[in-house]
Amino acid sequence: MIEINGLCRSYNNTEVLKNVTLSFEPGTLTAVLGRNGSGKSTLARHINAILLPQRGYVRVDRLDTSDDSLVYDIRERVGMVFQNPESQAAASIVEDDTAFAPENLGLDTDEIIKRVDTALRDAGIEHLRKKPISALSGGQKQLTAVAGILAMRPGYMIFDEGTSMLDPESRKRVMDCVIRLKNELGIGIIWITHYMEEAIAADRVIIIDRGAIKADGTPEDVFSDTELIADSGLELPPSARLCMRLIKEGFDIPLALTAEDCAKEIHQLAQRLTEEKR
Amino acid sequence: MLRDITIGRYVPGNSALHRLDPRTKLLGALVYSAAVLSCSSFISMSAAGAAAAAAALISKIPVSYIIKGLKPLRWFILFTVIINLFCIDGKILWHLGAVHITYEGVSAAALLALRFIFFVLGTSLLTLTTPPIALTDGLARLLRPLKAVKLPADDIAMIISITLRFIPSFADEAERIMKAQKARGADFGSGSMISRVRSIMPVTIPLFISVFRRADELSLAMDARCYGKGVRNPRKKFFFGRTDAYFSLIMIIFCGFLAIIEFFN
Ligand SMILES: Nc1ncnc2c1ncn2[C@@H]1O[C@H](COP(=O)(O)OP(=O)(O)OP(=O)(O)O)[C@@H](O)[C@H]1O
Ligand SMILES: [Mg+2]
Repeated sequence: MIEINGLCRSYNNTEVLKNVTLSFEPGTLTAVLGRNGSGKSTLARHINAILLPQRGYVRVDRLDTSDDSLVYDIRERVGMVFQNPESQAAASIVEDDTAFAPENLGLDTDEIIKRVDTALRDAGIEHLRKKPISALSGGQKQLTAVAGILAMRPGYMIFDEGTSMLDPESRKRVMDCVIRLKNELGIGIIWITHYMEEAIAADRVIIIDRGAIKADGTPEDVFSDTELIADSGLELPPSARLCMRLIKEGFDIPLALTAEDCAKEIHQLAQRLTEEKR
Repeated sequence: MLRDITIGRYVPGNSALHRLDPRTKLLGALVYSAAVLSCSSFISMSAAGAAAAAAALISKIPVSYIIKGLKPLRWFILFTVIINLFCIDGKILWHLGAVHITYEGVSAAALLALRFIFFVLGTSLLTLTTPPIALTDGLARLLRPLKAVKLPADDIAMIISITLRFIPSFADEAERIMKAQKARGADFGSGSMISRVRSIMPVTIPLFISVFRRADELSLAMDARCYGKGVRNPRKKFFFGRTDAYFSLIMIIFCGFLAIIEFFN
C-alpha cells in the first residue's frame, strides 16, 4: 500500500501541494485528474522519491521515502512512465532498454535475461525486441517504456500523462495493456491525465485542484458532481454531458460515461417514452 | 543537412567492428585520434586515411552514409583551411598585393583538413558501431581505476556517452526548429553574413530550451529506473576475444608504422 499523509510542498512561497492525505492499493487502477498546474506531477514524483516531502510523509509498502537508504527500494517498487515517448529510452535497441533497470539493480545476468523476456511479453512487444527504438511509433515507444519498468517487477506503476502525446489508436493500445497488467499481475496503477474519457475505465477517480484533493470515489460518483467538475477546470466526456443535459430537462436517465452505455440508455429511454404515449 | 551528422549515432549491425569489445574500440579510437593528430606528413596521413577506410569497409555501414556525415562540417573545414592558407609564411606560390599563398601554407592547410576529417571519421565509426549503453559501460570499466582516487568514474562515463548521444538529437532538433521557422517565412540561406547570423538567433533559443528539457526528462526517466543505485551489471558481458586481439595487434603495427614514417621525415 502507498500511504501519503499530510504531504505539503511549496515552490518560492507558492503552495503546490496542500496537506494531501491519500492511499493507493495494489491491483486497482486509480485515475488522478486535474487541470494544468494543479500539482499532479508534483504529487507523483513524491511517490517514487524523486521529490521528498517538505512536510508530512509518503510510505510505499511501509518504506518511508525520506529515508535515504530506501530510495532505490522504493523506485524499484514504484515504476514511472513519463509523457514524452522521445526522451525516456536509455538504450537504442528495445531489449537493451528493457535490461537497463535490472542492470542498474546489479542483478545476476541470468535473472536479467529472464526479466527482460517476461517484461517484453507482459508489455506485448516481444516481436519488437531487436528493433531500434528510433524506428518505433509513439505508442510502441511508450510500451517499451512500460517494459523497461516491468523489468523491475514493481508493485505499482505511475503514468504521468503517459498517453497524452499519442494518437487515439496507440492510446487505446497502451490503456489496454495497462488494464491487463492490473488484472493479470495485480499491479496498482496511478493514471494521471487531464482527459476525463480516460478515467472511465478506472476503479477509482481522484480530482486534484490547486494542490488539494477535491474528490475521491468511483467514476460514477465523482462524475455526477458536475459543479465540482466544472469548478476544477475539467470537462465531462461528451456522452456524460449529453446525459446531464437530459437529466436537467427532466428525463429519467442515469449518467452514462461511455458512448456505448449512453446509446443504450437513450435507446431504452426512447422505448419507454413511446410506450407511455400509447 | 544537420541531420547527416554521424557522430553519436548508432547503426545496428553484426560486422566484426560491431562485435568488438567496446573497450577495445574506445581505446582504438583514442589511439587513432592521437595518431592522426600527430601525423605531420602526407605519407603518414594517407596511411591513417587507409586505416579509416578499411575500418569503414569492415563496419559494412554504407560509405555514402559515412561521407554524408562530413558534409555538415564543410564550412568549418573550409574556414580553417583558408586561415592556414593565407597566414603561413614560406616559399611563395601565388600573390596579389599583400595577400599571398605559400607552398608551406597549402600543405599545412591540406594536412589540417585531413587531420580533422580523419578524426571525425574515427569518432563516428566508434559511435556508429557501438550501442550507447555499451559505450557507457565500456567507458565506466576503463575509468574504474579512477575510483581509487575518488573520481566518480561511472558518472564521468555516463556524461561522456550522453554528450555523444545528444549530438544527433541536437542536430535533429535544430533542423526541426529551422523547418518550423522557415514555414513562417524565415530565410536562413541568403543575405549578408550579419543577416544570416541574425536569422539563426530565433533558432538557438528554442533549441537550447528543447534540448535542456529533453536532458531533464531523460535524467528523470533514468532516476526512475534506479540508475545510480550502485555498480551496474551489464547484461552483455565484455569479452576480450580473438577479434579484439587481432584488432589491438593491427593498431600496434599501425602506430609503429606511423612512428617510423614520422621518424624518417
Ligand atoms: N521545480 C519547480 N519550480 C518552481 N515551480 C514548480 C516546479 N515544479 C512545479 N512547479 C509549479 O508547481 C505547480 C504544479 O506543477 P505540476 O507539474 O505538478 O502540475 P501538473 O498538474 O502536473 O500540470 P500539467 O497538467 O501541466 O502536467 C505549477 O504551478 C508549476 O509551475
Ligand atoms: Mg504534469
